[in-house]
Amino acid sequence: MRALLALLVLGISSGAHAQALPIFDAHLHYSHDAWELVPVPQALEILRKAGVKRALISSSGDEGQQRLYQAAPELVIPELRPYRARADVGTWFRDESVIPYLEDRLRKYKYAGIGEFHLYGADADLPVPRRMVELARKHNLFLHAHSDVDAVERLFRQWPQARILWAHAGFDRPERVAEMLKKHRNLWADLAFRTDHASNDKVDPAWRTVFLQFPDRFMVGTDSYTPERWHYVQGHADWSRRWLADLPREVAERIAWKNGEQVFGSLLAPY
Amino acid sequence: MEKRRTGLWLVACAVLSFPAWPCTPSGEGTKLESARYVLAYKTEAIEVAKHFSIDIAACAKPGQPEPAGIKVDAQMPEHRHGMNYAAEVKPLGPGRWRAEGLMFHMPGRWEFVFEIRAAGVTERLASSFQLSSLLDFSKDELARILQHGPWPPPLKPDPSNRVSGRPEAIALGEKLFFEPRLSGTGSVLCATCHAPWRLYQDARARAFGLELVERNTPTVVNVRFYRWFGWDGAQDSLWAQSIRPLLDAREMRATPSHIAKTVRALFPKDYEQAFGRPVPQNDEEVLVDVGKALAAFQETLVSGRTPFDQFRDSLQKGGTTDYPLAAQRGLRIFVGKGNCSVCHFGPQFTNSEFADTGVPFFIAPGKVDPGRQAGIEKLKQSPFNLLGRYNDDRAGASATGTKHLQAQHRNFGEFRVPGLRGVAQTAPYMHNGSLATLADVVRFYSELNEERLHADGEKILKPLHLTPQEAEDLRAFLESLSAR
Repeated sequence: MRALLALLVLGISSGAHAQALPIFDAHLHYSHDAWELVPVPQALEILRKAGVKRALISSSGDEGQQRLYQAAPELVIPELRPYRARADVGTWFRDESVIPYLEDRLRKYKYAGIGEFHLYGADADLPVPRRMVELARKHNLFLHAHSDVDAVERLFRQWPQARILWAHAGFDRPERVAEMLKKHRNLWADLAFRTDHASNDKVDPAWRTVFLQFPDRFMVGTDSYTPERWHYVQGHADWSRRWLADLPREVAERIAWKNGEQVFGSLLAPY
Repeated sequence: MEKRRTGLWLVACAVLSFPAWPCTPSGEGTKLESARYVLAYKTEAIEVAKHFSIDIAACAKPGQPEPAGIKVDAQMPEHRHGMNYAAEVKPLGPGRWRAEGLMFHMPGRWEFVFEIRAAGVTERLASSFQLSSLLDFSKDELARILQHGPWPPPLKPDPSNRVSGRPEAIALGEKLFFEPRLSGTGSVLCATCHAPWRLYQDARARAFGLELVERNTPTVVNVRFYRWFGWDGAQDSLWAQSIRPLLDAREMRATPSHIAKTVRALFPKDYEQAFGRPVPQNDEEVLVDVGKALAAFQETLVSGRTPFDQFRDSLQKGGTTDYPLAAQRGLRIFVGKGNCSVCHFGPQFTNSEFADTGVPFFIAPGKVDPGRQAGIEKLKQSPFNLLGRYNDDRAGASATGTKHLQAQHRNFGEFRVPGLRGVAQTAPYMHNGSLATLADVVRFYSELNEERLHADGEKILKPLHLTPQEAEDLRAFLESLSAR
């Protein structure tokens, strides 16, 4: 009977915890096509209503997240994307005009990182990405890389002390992600746009092992790559809370918000 | 006698196969000979209604004046007409020319006519050319084309619906489909939106039963072949889908008790004949059976054979075809560089699943239609899903898809891949009716906005960058998917 009561108490506690769990959303975009459809007050309201404590936000062009940051510096952490429009996603790494663009923005505004950028394989060693890494080093910025293992390795070779947030954990297998996290202590991973780590609110066994092995290296993120997906921030936060409730509390809290807060929270002083 | 004949034949073959040309034109291709000249011509691949050019070389036989110029034309002797365009001949060097701007605007036997001018005399050479009415589809293309048939496919009863295929249930379903008193207001019927004379849709961008809704009315012709029902797949059977609009306040605004009362009052005998029992007292049971009768009727709505089906079957049998070349070229795009057939797969031209092709899905400021993502949630919570008590399939196999269904982030903003049979008759298009014509749909995919697609989303979705001719061809193919 006592055991049953204890279980009930634990269950209630776990449920309450899942309800209240704040979220650090490490993967949001507020790009040009979103500014009219999801105005700044509405975007901020969406974040607050979803219980998002802070959010790492980039945009194409860069003006979007600056608008958000100015309106809510306590909520928004800006990243600088090397894209003036989202269409640059497949061309930026060969476009030399990207560098003066980044330099100009870095002169004018504060950022926690450069990204999210899309970069694969040997393209990481092209002159434009190399120069971008130099800028990140100069300004002491994170790199938020939507990359495969090869490109991540190349980025670390260019700058061994780099701190990289690996977007979508590279869409790679949990075992491979674990290898990378073990090899690079300055590598973190966001789980945006992935569902393979949890099914029916239960954590996949292979992923559970990795989460428990590296509880301080994961973050969650919505990935609002179209304006409509801002309206998924709440749904994504709810979904994240449900599967995180299947992990030990401390691990869940770390992945939900503590890791993001610890890694990025102190990088920018509010205006 | 026999030997001599054979010998003569062999000699004739040798002469035909290895002519001793009296001069050698400085170009490759088909060779023609006149009294004074030898001419060789080579064309690009010629297709109907596509401009092409010809390279020509000519030489004078010994003792004859060299060609001074050449004129090129073509005609269809059997049709007694020529081309609609005049070829322009440009000299490329001594004895060589290129004729540009030719176009054969229909298949059949054409005749090239070359007129060589020299020393005030014109000499005419002619050569036949058969323009095929069948494109040279590759083995791979043929295999993909054949996957879109045969039509109609075998019709199997729905195991989840115990009256599927039963004539009495079909008859009751038809009555119910056209019965306004089923609606809560007594003013709308299923056929208000699914109008038979409009291929069982309404030609509106967004449906309007009792109020305007967010989505386009899909046709219910061929609806029996889907795995999921509705633009969001929130139902996993046709009978459950048939219940949904009855209860929706914006569509038919009925309640289970109203439906049951109406059936008891108007159709007690029809019900008993269809279901083999009196109308039960439980309202929800009656509601479900109304859905099942409606489904039995809608299962009979299968489209007829189309020009594409005739073509597809003739390809399989190796017969002849009068399927227009424009439609054939469009079909080639559909199964080839367009990658359309990857999702619009099989005889129904749909994989019966869901996709985000970049169609915006805001429905009002600050409000979106989450599509499949919410559809999955609704399905899981529905008392009428195939995992519930109303599934008549005791074996349970029909519920496999529902059991294993799992929502993913990409489902947000995904909508059903619609079947394309009769597509020319079901404008406007897309889940929200945002594209008015088939040409608009083709343009949408030709200019696909990649910015709206996730970098790790479906890789086959790329802007097709179709030429105006290709866009027209693709439209011609889509139009051939309607029954005559």
